[in-house]
Amino acid sequence: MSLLSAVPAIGETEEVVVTPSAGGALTAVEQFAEYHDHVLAPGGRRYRDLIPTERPGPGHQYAFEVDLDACTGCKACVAACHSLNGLEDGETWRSVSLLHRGTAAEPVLQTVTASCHHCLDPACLRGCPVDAYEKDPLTGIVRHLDDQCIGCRYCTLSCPYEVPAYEPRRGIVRKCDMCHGRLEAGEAPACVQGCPNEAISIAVVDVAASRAAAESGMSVPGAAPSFITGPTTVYVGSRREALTRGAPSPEPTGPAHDHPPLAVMLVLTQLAVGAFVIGLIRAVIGGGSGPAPAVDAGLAVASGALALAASVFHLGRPRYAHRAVIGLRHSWLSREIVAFGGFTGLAVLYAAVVASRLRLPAGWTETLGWLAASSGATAVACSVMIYATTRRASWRVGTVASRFGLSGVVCGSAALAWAAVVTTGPGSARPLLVLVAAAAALKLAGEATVFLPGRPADHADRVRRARLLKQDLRPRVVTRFGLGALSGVVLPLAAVWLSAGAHPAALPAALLASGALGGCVAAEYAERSLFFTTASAPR
Amino acid sequence: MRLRHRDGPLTRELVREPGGFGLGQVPSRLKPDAVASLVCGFCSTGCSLDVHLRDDGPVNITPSVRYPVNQGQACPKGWEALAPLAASDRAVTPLWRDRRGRLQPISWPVASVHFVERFRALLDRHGPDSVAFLSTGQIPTEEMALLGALAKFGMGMVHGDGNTRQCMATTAAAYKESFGFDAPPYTYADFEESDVIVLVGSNLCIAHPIMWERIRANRHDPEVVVVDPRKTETAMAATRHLAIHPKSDLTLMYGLAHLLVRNGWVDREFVDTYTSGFEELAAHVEAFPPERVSAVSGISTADLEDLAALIHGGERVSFWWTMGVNQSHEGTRTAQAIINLALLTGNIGRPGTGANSITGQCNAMGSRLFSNTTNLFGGRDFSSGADRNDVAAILGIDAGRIPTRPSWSYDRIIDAAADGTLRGLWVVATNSAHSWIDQSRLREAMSRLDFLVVQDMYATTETAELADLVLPAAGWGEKDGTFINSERRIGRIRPVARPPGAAIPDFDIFRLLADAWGCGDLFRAWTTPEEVFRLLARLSQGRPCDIGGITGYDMIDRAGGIQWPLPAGTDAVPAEERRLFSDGRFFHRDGRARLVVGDPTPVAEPVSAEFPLVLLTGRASSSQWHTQTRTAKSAVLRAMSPADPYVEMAPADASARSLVTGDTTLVRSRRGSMRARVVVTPTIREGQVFVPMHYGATNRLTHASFDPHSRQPAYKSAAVQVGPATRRER
Repeated sequence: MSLLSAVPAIGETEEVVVTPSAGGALTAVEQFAEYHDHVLAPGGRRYRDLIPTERPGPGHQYAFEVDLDACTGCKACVAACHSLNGLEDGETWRSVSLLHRGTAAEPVLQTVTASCHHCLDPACLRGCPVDAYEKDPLTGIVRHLDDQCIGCRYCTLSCPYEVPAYEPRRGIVRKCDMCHGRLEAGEAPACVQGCPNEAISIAVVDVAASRAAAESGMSVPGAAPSFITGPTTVYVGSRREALTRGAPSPEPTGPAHDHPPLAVMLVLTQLAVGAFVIGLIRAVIGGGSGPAPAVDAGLAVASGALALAASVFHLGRPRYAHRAVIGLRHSWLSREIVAFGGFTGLAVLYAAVVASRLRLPAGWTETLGWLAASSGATAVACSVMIYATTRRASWRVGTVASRFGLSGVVCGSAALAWAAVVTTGPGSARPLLVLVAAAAALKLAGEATVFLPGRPADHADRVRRARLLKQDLRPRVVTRFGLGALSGVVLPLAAVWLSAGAHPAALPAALLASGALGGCVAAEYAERSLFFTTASAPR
Repeated sequence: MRLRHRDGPLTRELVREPGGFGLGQVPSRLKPDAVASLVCGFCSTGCSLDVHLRDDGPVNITPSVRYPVNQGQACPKGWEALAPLAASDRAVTPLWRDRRGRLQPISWPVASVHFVERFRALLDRHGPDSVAFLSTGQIPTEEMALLGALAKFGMGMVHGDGNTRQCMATTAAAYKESFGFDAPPYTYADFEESDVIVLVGSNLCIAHPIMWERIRANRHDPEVVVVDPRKTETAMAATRHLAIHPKSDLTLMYGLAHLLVRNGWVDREFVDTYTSGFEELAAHVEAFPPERVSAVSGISTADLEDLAALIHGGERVSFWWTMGVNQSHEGTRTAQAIINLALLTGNIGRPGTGANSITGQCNAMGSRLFSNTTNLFGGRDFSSGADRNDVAAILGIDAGRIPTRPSWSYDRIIDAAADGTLRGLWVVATNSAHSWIDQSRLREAMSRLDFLVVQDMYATTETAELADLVLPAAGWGEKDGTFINSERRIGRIRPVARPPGAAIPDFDIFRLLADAWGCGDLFRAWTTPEEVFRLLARLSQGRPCDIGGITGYDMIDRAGGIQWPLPAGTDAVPAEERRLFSDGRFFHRDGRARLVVGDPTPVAEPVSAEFPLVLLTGRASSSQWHTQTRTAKSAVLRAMSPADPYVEMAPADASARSLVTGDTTLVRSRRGSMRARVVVTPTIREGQVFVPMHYGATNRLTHASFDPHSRQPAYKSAAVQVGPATRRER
């Protein structure tokens, strides 16, 4: 051991020389406790009872079993998992939550250790665009294929238990694999080894029974309803009943991740589709002549290209982005990518056709436009479904659809209005500016309902969100609503007012329209950032 | 083209394989080529950890499987014990505060010259009361012994105390008066042998998880009673919880003694043979009938009677206490009231019994015996000429070098700094500017010092940030020595990593300073930690803590730690689990234990209309250690507890203030305020709030009152108010 012999004589380069006291220590190698390979694995005697003696047969799988009465919140399982699996600094595959329940007369404090629940119908697997998850047909263990992952992080949102976690150094997600190699070798998983109270064990569960239990409600105390994915972890203990009584208080959690590239990507794709669809409608109404349709489609294409660039920044391993279409059959993310790719291609084609004034057979240009528009709408619908299927309280399908749709109308019409003001003068932009103001006002009003008192549905989550918005996220909320109202309502209406009459004020109107476009995009970005930071896993 | 990549470099990073050394599977890239065992450097449980070494460095830790204390288990702090060593903000060179107030790197020779010149000047000009040192329960016994000897015998300091004043002073005072020596009588096997376990002011599941493991290993289906104002994790896991009003524990204990006496449940044979003071005790507790006790404690008379009956009915009843008792304005009497219950029922000296104080820091017990602060070496008395002569003879020094008066306690040292008497302070491995009670007062006192030296692993602690001179120290895992755990077990630490930069073991810092001071000759025999250990063994001979039978570190390693006492001439291989007082003989000259009683006194700061809530402070998670100097260095440990301070409140108190969980609010006392997030929970009673001690702001709120016998600060009672923070405060 050169470590120990390499320790320099302390102070040897200094005037005051001290002989090293660690003298005994310098030869500590000789003092190392003796170990032999035949010594039992950690706790070998004890853990034999905590793992099954046989592998799961047909219709069965492995599952964690947690004795809630024995779990006292020491969190050794978290640290043991980290160390025995060699995880990255700060990376944890297990967590322990604390539930405060009961009444003053009968308070209940319950710590709940949880890791991957190796679900019957894993949402991570369903949502993954690159098929980086597989459920082992024999053991039921849900495994993550690290080399397949592109780091899109969708599973960190789709898992109702927030189990998969992004590991930034490698740019991929990683998660618990139930120490399958240890189980194969007859050794207990790290968490099982590390629990001083023997609260965690591995069981073989009957899949049908697991499914029935999951459908009946709350398999995992304090976490998402179990019917979503069918978690297999079995929680037992005398307080099981008490934990489900009484409304849970709002979670004390702070803001979630804000996913900046994702927020940019969403706003810009919606701008692109909104601008294209509104531009197409204008073109159809206007007879498809003049420079406007080409400019409008060009704007949409440019925004779409920017969105694509932003989305690549979101990936942990962008060089493998092409894999993202693999999951088309089950992943809304794959579908979004395919649909958006189709939209962009068709929009480019359409823009080229209208710009080049190619003489296509009657109706072909328009049909091409509608094809592009419908794939754009499909892409936005897929975006909506990406979030809606996570079952987060703030991401209900209606909420997300209206947000994304109105973002498209606000930003799309603001972009077209700007283009119209700049290219053909303020008069032609008036309907678009009115549309911006109406859509922005409607959208802001809808978002502000989170602050209204007393709506029973989703109450706990709404209280939590309102608190986050009013306290932690206040500056961004001020930006969102202040800038949203200014650039979405005030500036467009001012531009409408300026453009009235026979001699509209062209330059001020152009400035206002530019301000409205820039402001709307920024305000929608702030909205989207709040969309992410205030979301929390379903409860 | 392959569509799915099941294998590859990323997949292989997580591959595990048998680790050898009896470890089972380990991550392949961390497979050790050597393993070294050392006891943990956080709490007093004293778990042994196996450090995995690979390519000259420590790469991982697993708990030692065959060590009698922890048997293959550890809490998260133990698992993460290497993280603090690798922190990027380690102090790597001595630092000197320049005229512009910035800490600048200097060399060791320059640092030692500064140290000597400044302290000498103060001593010469203002006398021995002008300087003091603060030691710690976090360094090995050998180092704290050298510090105590150097400062007091070499440098001529009289005053030196330790941060053990904050955790164990009460227990030490209580044991000394009751048993005749500061001697925790138990061994951890007692957790497994009891049929009734009474835990007073102890959240074992969080503070000492591996001791709770021992209770779970108990095969006698024990009744576990928790006495605590809060419904803690331990209270949940217990079979009974007595949620007493804060600071009613002394009354409760007297109430139980009253019932034992009244019902004729006193073991008179044991009491008459082995104790003294029973008549006084009986007369004293006469005044504590169940009705009075119930009114004070909030526990029904029926529950009181039940608990007394349980204690009476138990074959092997053990009583355990921690900081809920120790950190109280009347902690010494409370600890003694618990000791009295064990003595009255003869529950001592047998397996599964005892009046057992659970220690806080990894080496608080070493400090109590060998730090040479409050007590002269080996639990001796500075004011006793005979004791001074003893020590002088063994160490081969002039008895005239030994101070003839005891040291000021920590609080008195701070008072002296505040009133200008004390001008120079040397703080070793403790973080006063976070942990000491009533921070505004402490910081005011520290700002008046002419010279503050902080010796620590990090120059970033709150206290180091105030220092004039910072001395960079090696940490646990970078040096040699021994700790003494809660059950008196001496365990070994050893270097497994190199200290960074110019950081060196505290032991070497003390030797360097001894030479620079010109008193190096006094310490010629103090060459290595192991030599010092042998000196301490000699100093202990004939004392209750006699370890003359321990020949050296090898013996400790081979035995899996050795409990004191082990006098010379006893078994070469001591039994693994040994307890005291099995012969009924205590350490007083007459061999009898004392039944000590005293009147309950009111808390120093009762609640008022302006400050209507009782502030309870304490440990909140197993992943945070004290001021988080070390645990905050581990990202894994940080992830296990809230980063921001929080305050737990009862639902009624929260709704009266329109607060919900997650709100940011302000907790205020007469001395200061802190921002905290609200956690509404029925586990805390109306009229009380709980704030974890690990956050820097918590001690802005606490009230500096002290137990009169132990001078231990009363961290667990202050009057506060909670209200929504105004926008500016948020």
